[in-house]
Amino acid sequence: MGDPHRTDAAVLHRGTVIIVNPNGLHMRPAMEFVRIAQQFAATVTVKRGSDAVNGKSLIELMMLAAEPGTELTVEVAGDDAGSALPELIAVLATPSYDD
Amino acid sequence: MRMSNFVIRDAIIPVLSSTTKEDVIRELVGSLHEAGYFRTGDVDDIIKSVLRREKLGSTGIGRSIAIPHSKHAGVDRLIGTLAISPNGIPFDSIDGEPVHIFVLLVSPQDRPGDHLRALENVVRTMKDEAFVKSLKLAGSRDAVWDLLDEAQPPRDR
Repeated sequence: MGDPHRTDAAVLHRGTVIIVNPNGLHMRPAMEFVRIAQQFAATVTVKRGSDAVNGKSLIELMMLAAEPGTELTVEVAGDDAGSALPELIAVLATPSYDD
Repeated sequence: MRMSNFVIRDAIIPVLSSTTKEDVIRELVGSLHEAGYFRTGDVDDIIKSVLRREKLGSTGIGRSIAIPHSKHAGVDRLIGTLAISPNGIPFDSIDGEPVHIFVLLVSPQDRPGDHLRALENVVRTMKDEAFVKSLKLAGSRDAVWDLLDEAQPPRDR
């Protein structure tokens, strides 16, 4: 059952990004985000205002319909959260993907 | 926005005859053309553009659904169609499973917000497994349309 002293809450990492891609968070960057999120054991949550979705689910990410200018908050919790967060933020901050 | 706002009723394909990725995209674009959309000279270009997008990464999003799409100057508003393959078609989906439900989206060059909301709409509607199951069994254009028209619209942002 692992180390009883471990608390995942202690390794929550959070970052905020504004979507600058003129096409918004369309399918390609959303797929790239999910691909990277799935490489980590940490849980990944993406928040837009009061909406919160599972960052490992493409379908849920596309439900955010994040247009340019939208502020998204990424919360990553787990042992590898510290290395996951910058990679995930980088995908959301990418200014352009072919679509 | 709801799916019946952008899906062209006369272009719905209740039972696809195609069995390959390239053919299904031809069949989808061709069906919109037969329903009165796109100039004849644009059809091949739209097919190529949708196929080019697929080469960047499949639009098969899993759960037996694919949303092939393209921007094209040949439309002045976002339009789409829906097609069903009862047997499923290999589409390189993210979950590796064949695709049964295809939603093609063609949008103008300068309306990324409409495209994002259409994507949102499709995935919200298709999240309902019972709905997807009913679509697969619909069998006729009218039955597909009635299902789309009755689907709960997502809340507005």
